[in-house]
Amino acid sequence: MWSNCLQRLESELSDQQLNTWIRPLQVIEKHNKIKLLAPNRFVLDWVNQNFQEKIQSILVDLDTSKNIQLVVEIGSQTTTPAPQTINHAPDQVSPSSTFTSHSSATTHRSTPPKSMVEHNINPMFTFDNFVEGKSNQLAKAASIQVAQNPGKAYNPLFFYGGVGLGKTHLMHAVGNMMLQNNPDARITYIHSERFVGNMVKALQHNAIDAFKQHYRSLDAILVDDIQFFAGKERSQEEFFHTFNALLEAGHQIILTCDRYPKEVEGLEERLRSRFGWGLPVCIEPPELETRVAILQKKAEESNIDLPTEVAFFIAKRIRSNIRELEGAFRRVLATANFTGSPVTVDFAKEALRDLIALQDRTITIDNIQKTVAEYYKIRTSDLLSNRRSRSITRPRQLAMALSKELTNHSLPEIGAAFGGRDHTTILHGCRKVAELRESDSRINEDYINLMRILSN
Amino acid sequence: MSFTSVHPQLPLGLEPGELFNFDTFVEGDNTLVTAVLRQCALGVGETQVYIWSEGALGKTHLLQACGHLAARHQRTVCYLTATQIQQNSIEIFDGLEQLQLVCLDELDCWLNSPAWQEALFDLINRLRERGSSLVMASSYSPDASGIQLADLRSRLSWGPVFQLKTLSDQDKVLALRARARQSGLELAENVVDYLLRRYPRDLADQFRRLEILDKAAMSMQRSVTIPLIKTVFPEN
Repeated sequence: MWSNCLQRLESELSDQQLNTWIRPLQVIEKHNKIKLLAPNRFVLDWVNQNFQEKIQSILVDLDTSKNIQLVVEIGSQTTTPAPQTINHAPDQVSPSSTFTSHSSATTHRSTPPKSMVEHNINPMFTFDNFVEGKSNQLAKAASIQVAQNPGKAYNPLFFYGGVGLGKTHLMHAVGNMMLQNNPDARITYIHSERFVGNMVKALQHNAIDAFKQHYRSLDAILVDDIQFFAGKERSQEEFFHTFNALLEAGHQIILTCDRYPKEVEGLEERLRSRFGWGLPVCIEPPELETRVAILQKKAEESNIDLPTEVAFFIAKRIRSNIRELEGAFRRVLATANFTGSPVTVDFAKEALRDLIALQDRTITIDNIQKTVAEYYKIRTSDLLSNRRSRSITRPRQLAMALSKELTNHSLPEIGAAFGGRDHTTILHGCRKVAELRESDSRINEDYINLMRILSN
Repeated sequence: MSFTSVHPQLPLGLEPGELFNFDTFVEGDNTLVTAVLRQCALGVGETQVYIWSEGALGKTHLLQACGHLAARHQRTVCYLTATQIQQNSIEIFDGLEQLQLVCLDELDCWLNSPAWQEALFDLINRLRERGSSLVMASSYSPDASGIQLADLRSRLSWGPVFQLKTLSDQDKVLALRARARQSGLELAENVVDYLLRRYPRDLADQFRRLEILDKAAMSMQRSVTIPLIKTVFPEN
């Protein structure tokens, strides 16, 4: 019946109307009842206001018994998550039923209420498929410690670093190992963004006690990207109490953030200091060899033979983070699948041509000089000048090294762009920076930061 | 009888037939993108695809086509434009991860506030966790999109990113004719030539002209010819 009705709708409504409002509806057809499930209140309201009458009249028209009943409500038929995700069922007393039931009078869920908290640990993220390198080895070692001794080793365990560097992966890996050792462990993984959203819903639906109880009764909580708590005072307050309750009970807390706890603006001092109680570990952008290893791991997972030289080519081009590295890899893969060609360096070059062109366009020597000057709070003209004080020469040498690393300009061209210097001066600058990065951690950190700023 | 003396018949408010599917899309050099999108719409291959191009090169058409194809294969799908998104609050994204395919158009028009950026960030996470597919279109590449939220920016590049390529003049002829055919118009070769020779050759401009011509032709009860074009777009 519904498919006939849909055919009629297809001839009467525009594609846009269909794609936006009708096709998101899931259908349950039983006897003389057709139940349409809308994903959210907006779709529900829109369908009720604009299409319900039409749908009803088509159904009446199609139904010979004239006994058809139409119901539109919020809900979902498919409550099982993606196959790769294991669902560790929440307590039966989960607060979910109270806050996920939507406010519309016509709304009541047809499926068991979905837990409002995400308690799913992704089994795809394990220590086995985490590629270790210099940039993340400490983080991995600490994670294994925590997974083997939850609540005892480092609490909270705090990972910080730029986006797409594997913080979430490590977090899930700890969760997976904890579950392996204790399958009954109640572990919740949640983005701070969603913690805030769920709390707002709990407040709206008078279910804050259930919300508190749920989070405070966990064996471990993994909160991703806590920088999203910034400026959200009420959520911070609630999280503060959850944090204390779990910590006092000796339950494990793992947090991630894009920066060091003390540097998160808009976060209460008491939270900042607590986040630093355990072990804050930095995850840095992976170096070339690790990026290559990551690509090879991803190729292995996709059953693809990725020649080493191609992995090196992609890894040299995409430096910013693993997510973008994966995006580029998928692009090469999609092209290979489409054309049936073997994956060679030339092939990868062609497949990533526009991406590379875009990158080349964004990263210029000018841009590098400006960024370095801003970073060290000096003038761009100082970089080009003959001044020899250390406060100028170090940034200048870093800018030279970054220009060599990030652009395809020749050394004489780089020299010309730095106030007409000889190419040997550029070479000397690059060597000096390489030496300093080994011996001076501050210079190394500056280099990594600048690289990240420029590559993003 | 001069044309202007004809009492203009009001057009019936018919928009050009919106048959945005893969069959009516003129691919030009974009065969790879369409192949990847087709697969994504069917739930095989990539689960996230980001397409971008500065001009009007068919992004909306492709997203709608994904919606069609997915629906034809009994997949649940939702397609949202900037207008629909902007008219609502971020709760419009609630529950969308339950669908098998979500298509978000015109990112550059609505993704300008931190609230929307965080909402999309959260939606991408939810879709990933569920294994649902996402296709996005924008005028800018993820890196050039001016999105302040780095967590979101990197997520936009999680799957393959494709820049749509401009059509050759030859393909533009095909595209213009295909678009006209959707409105029930059969354009003569000299008419297409004239349009592409005399007016800006970007397809957005051409399609807009075609729409105006179609309405004029209906109201004047004439077919689209060079004299009609000259009447509707008189040269200064």
